[in-house]
Amino acid sequence: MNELVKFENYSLTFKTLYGDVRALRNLSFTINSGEIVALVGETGCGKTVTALSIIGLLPENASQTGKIFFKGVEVNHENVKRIRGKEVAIVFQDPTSSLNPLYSIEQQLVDVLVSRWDIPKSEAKEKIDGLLRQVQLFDVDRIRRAYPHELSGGMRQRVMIAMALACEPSLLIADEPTTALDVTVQRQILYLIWELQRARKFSVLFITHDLGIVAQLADRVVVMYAGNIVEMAPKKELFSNPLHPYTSGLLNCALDPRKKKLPEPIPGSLPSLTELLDGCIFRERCGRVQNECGILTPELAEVRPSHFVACHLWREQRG
Amino acid sequence: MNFLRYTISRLFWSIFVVLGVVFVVFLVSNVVPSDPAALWVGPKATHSAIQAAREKLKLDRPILVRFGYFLKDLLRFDLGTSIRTHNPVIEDIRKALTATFELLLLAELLAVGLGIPLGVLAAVKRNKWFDNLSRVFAVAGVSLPSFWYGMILQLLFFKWLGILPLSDRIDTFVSLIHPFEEKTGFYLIDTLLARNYVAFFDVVKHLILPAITLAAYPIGLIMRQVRSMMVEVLQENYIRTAFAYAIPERKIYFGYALKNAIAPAMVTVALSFAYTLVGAFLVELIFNWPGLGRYAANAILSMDYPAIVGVTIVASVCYVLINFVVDLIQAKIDPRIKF
Amino acid sequence: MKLVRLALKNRLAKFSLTIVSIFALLALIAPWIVPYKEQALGEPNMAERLLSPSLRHPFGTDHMGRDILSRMIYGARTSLFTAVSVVFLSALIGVPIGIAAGYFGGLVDNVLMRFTDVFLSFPPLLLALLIASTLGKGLFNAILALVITWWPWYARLVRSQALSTKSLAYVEAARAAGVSNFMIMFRHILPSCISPLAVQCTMDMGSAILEAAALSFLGLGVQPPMPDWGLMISEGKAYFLNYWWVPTFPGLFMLVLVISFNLLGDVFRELVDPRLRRRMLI
Repeated sequence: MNELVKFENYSLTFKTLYGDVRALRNLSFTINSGEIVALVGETGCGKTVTALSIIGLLPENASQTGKIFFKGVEVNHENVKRIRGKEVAIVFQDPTSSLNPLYSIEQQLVDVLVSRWDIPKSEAKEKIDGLLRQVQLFDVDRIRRAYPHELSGGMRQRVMIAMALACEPSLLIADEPTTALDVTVQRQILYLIWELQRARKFSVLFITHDLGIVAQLADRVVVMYAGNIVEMAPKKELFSNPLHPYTSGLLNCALDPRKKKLPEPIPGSLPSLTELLDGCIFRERCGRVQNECGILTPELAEVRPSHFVACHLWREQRG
Repeated sequence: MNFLRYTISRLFWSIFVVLGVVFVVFLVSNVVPSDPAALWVGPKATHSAIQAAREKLKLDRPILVRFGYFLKDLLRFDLGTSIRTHNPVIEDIRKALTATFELLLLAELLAVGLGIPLGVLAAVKRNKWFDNLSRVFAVAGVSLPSFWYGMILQLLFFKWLGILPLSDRIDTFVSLIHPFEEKTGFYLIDTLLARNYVAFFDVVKHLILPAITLAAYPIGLIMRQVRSMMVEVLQENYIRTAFAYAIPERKIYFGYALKNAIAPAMVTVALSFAYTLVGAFLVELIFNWPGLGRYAANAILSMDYPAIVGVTIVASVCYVLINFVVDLIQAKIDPRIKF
Repeated sequence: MKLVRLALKNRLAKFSLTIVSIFALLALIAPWIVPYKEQALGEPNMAERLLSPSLRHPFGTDHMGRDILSRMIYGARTSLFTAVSVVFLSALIGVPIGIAAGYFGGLVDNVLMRFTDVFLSFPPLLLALLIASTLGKGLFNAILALVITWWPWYARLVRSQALSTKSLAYVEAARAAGVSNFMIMFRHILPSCISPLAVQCTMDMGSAILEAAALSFLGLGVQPPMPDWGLMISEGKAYFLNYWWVPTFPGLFMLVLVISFNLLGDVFRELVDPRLRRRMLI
């Protein structure tokens, strides 16, 4: 297993009219080659921004500290261009707004192929059929000539996945790819991604807030809250031994037809990202909060084999 | 939801409007304090001559009857006879129109050719020095009094640098030595058709300053419109996708983004055509351009009412026509407009 | 007034507002600060005609020997007065018509809008030219001509605003409570129009100055010997090739004022349009 992507104490701050928004704080985690890592958390916890930082698609008012490594090499302004759209491909959440309404599917795919492989347009056009079939779009002639609004949501997302595959990336980032789709279509897309990963063995960073998806797809899980990583573990380990109160809360929230009661939500809401907080970011909503939670910021530490958590409750068990 | 029906209804509406315009113009021109008959005959008027003129101009009939005659003549494209030149107004106007149109088209081409790329670049480099500078230029373009601006350009290029001519469409000397036949009335085309390159270059030289003066306003309008639409479009998700897949930047800005932003800009271009029509008026005065503007100005100065009325009607019809086309374009592009 | 406070934070707005205020101030106190008052008002001084800029006459003298600087400052009075009158009167006529059309809808709306459409179908300056040339020369006729051409724009603007406001909940509530139509229009619809009106009026100030100057340039507005920028440029046209300063400085002055109004209007427009206010990304 070698490390494909490594975040090392990476922090991201946005300078806005309302103050500095600390979107990510001291992120440290790895994505290994060939594995599916699920990035889990509530809306607004920084999942999408994490993905965008890997490919450097951040707005101008973003300032970063810390490092991101790709295949062992530190990512900076110049070499990020060699990663974006080439080694790393991203599938966005809403396929409707992510495709240009005035360009046909063929045109958009050709553009991606041309810029990735530096081949002439004619050669790119020949590859379209193959790409579309790989994502289970078999009505190739109609689809290549179609415009985005002529396709259904599921088909559009498949096109986005085809676009990603066209780059033959080492890492596929899927940012909540099924959230905007119907439930029945969701399964198909998930299955598609899983199959493709099994066949080609690229890594996947799967961003989602749906634990059900995590349970099916992921190899490892990273749980984020308000810009921090609070827990990180292999899937089975996480589900059987959730250590962080937030993780337990999330698992309790999931609807389970076997339970007799309705799920219990986690009380409270996300803290403001503009205020500087000492101590644990989750303390205001934590059911097991203690004194030191308000003073000392917990660090991510390996408490069980491959199982990392940032919480004072498990301080004694750290190696 | 029928485009054809919409077109027809808009057409009817435009005709109705033109009628309204004609009526207003007629009314206004008949509230004239001075006596058109006397003006027609000229300073050495005798009483009987004025009386004869009055009969000829049908000024002794009641007003609605006169309006009837007026409409009848209009439908035959008879706009009366100019008091000043004693030519049929329609003839005077026809000759002047091509001169004005040549200038107008060139100015619009300049405006579109410069305005769109500059607008795109300004949006791309948003809030940087280029953007701020171009915004100043755009605002300046829209704020310039065209008659003053033309004079400044003349000072600069004719008086101080001596590289461009002062006025007119062509140098009299050149037109005498290298004559060409006026087939279309568009000198650029006519000189090329006659393969008369000396005259062609002279015509071009004469077109430069007036075209630049006239183009200032539409460039400003178009630049601003394109910039603001581009700024909106650049926030869209599909642009983010294009960046994520490393599509070359030029293709993103001038292809992916511009294609989506261009529609409202086209409407602006068409509208600016209408404003520029009016601007041509003033510019022609500065550059002594033998177009509609100069004709109208002379008409006003000499109280030549048939001519004034004729020009106003022709200009208004053009304006209504342009707005009609703009309405159609908008309806085609924007699906929200109900037919 | 929140608009004004927000606007004041913007550097560009402060800059333009300063310039506009300076002009307004100059216009107001002109009679007292102008170096050559009688000349400004038209008294010729043929001994000193067409002098190039100097210390005594910073912008030179015109073809009648009058100090151009003084005339320019006085010209600010005419221009600002004209522009304010045109905008104010056009709004005065157009706004009630527009509100009535938008609020009452139906036949009233139709009739009023057809009426305004005819006016709107004229190329902007042309109708003013026609009217001014018929009414005769002079400043008041020019203002009248401009107002007749301008009011439809305000009617249109206000009508669309009224249309969208009249279906809002609080207006319906007022109607249900039995408030008279007039009160509703005055108390509820009118205030909602203030924002777009403010933007439009500011930008229109610039256009009004330009159009008034165009009319004067053509001899239809202010008459000599009154000081007016358009008129000064027109008079200078005969001499400008050899005496460049005569039309140049008045035009420059006018340009600066119009640019300032337009910039101010621009800033207002960006503030009023909620879509453009997005500064926070992602």
